[in-house]
Amino acid sequence: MTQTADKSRLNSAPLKQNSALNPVSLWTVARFEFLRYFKWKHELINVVILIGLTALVQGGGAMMQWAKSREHFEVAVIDGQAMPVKYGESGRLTLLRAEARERAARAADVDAGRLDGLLEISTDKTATLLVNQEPTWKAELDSHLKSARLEQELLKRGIAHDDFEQWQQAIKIDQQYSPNARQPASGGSRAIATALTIFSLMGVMTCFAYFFVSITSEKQQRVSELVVSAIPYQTWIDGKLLGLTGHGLKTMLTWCLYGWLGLLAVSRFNPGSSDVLAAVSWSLVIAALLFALGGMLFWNTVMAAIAASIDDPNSSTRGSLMFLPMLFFMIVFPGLDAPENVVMQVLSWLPFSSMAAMPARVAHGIVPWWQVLASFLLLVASIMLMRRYASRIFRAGMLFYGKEASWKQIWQWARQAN
Amino acid sequence: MSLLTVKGVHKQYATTHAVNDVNFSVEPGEIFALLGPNGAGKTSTVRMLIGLTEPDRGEIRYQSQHGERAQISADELGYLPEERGLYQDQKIIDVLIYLAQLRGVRRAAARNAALPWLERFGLADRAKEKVSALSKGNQQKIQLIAALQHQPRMLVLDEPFSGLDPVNQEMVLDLLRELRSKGTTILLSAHQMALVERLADRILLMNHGRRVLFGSMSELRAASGLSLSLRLEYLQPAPAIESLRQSGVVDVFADGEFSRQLILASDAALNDLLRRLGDGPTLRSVHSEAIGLHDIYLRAVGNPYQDDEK
Repeated sequence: MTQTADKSRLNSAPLKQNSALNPVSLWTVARFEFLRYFKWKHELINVVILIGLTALVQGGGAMMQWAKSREHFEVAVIDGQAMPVKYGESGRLTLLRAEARERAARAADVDAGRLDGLLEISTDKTATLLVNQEPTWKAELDSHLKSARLEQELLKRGIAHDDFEQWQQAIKIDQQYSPNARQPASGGSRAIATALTIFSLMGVMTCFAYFFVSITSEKQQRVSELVVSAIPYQTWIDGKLLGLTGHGLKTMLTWCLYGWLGLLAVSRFNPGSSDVLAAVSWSLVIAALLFALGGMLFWNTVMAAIAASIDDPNSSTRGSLMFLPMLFFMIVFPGLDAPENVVMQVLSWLPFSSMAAMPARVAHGIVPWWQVLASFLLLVASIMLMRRYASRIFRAGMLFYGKEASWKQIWQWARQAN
Repeated sequence: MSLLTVKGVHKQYATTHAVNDVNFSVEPGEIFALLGPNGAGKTSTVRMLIGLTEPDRGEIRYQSQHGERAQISADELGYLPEERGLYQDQKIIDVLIYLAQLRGVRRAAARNAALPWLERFGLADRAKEKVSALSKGNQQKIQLIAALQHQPRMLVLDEPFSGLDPVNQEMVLDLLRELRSKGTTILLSAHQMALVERLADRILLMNHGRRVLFGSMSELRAASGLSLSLRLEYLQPAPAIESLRQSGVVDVFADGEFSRQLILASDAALNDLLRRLGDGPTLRSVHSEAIGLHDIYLRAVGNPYQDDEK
């Protein structure tokens, strides 16, 4: 007899509950869950594919640049306003002087494809361009005309070109900090903090995918009874949390490794770029890693509860909840360059988003240490609280077959005392 | 002292009183069978015994090696759930090692324990294949190995014969007898009456969550009030069922046009009955045998198809 949905109710809750954790069982589950989805062969294939794709993208970009540089366009210009247009070859574009009487002949050249365009400047603000196909070089032509017009205006006003250039230079500001200032981390550290935030999102998404597959497949393959007859539910969910969070960390660190190798490769051709690594604030990196780990554990407890409530992953609408953490990251990303605003401050405290927002604030040096510590402790407390509720939902959900639990049922499971 | 004692246990779900005041005990080294139709409360009882759910009322006590407990410890229990399930995407040997480790066996010892069992079940050469590569019957064997590889004191098997062909059913039968001879206590629930009758030392028959009959086969026969099953083969068309309902005959079943089966009460006067049967159509053969578990079961829980057969 299956314990089908219509037969379950609150007082049918499983007996094996939060008995004292057995570290050996915990490690056994964590190891199994990690190795379940970790295959050395697949990891190496992934690296090769990634290198191949990178080479393809880089190679493709270089080929595109080369092909573009080989293109050349000729445009005849009838200049009724005597604009100081620079004739001759400039980049992909060559401007040829033409007279008004040649208009018909040049237009015929355009139509026959012997010329790429015929430009007639009517006033200093208007011009007509005749083409026989979409001009991919129009931006370059615009730039030429803009320069010509500027030169004309400078001449009218008797202003030397060099003077005008000089006025446009930014004022050099020598930035100094007061004795008690919170100085920002170096540009390299900030870049690394941003990279870690992005990588931690990838870690969370990886964890989510594995949690979803792991738990729903165990329910579908009816493994639950076999496992919970041997170990307490709490050990099972904790082992899963550790093992699958290990996957998130692995994903995150793998991308860090790729980034580091990429930076090393770039620094061979551009010596200045190695400064990014040299100026890294390791305390910032450690803080970012701790928040990433905490954030992953937090979201994983949420996912464990959601996945345990799903009966059939093919028909459940709860799969879309996987994008919940992404939502918080999407809110945080626009604030990464200015993390002192009030929204970012709030987000850096919330356990949903502190893994992304707090490292960004730390990188900008605008957050007191006690706030970092308090936010992290809040994250840890939230993990403990979520673990408690998630394990209740997990415990009831893993033996709940036949139909998907309603939100009301999930709420009742969560409230049910151990 | 009983290994397992169940006293006045109740289990109620939203719409069903799945287990209703059930009492029994399981002795060390015996094979104890739980029988009953679908929905009788067998699986609900088993789930309470192994600690997956708790009784609403009543008490379950287990005599562990470490003293009396409310729950069987993981290392002393082997469990084959009715809902068969294995990690389909994992290697067979890895799954067996993992499940043994969960029951407290060290990794190396778990491997050493699993391999001889795979050998015995003819699956040693497939140890490194994924579980999904196995047939349903072979997956059933892997589950059985998972239940007993760590040498539990008590083995709880929910429908151990389902999904097995007759040859493998016999193999499991021999295996369970062998385990019993080595002192393992086995509690099983099954539908295969003939197999249970050959295997079980004591039987608990449940229906609608209640205990209907309980005891050894001879005790069940005595409690059922039935003694013999009489098969009559006629040379001519057999008489109508109603005409065969005579004194001492509890039930009559038709088995084709020329054959009838009579279930006799324990106090039936066989001489008189045979004399009266001789007055009817010509008999080709009369075959008698002690009443089996199948008939006791049908008599106790009722046969929904009985009216159609008559």
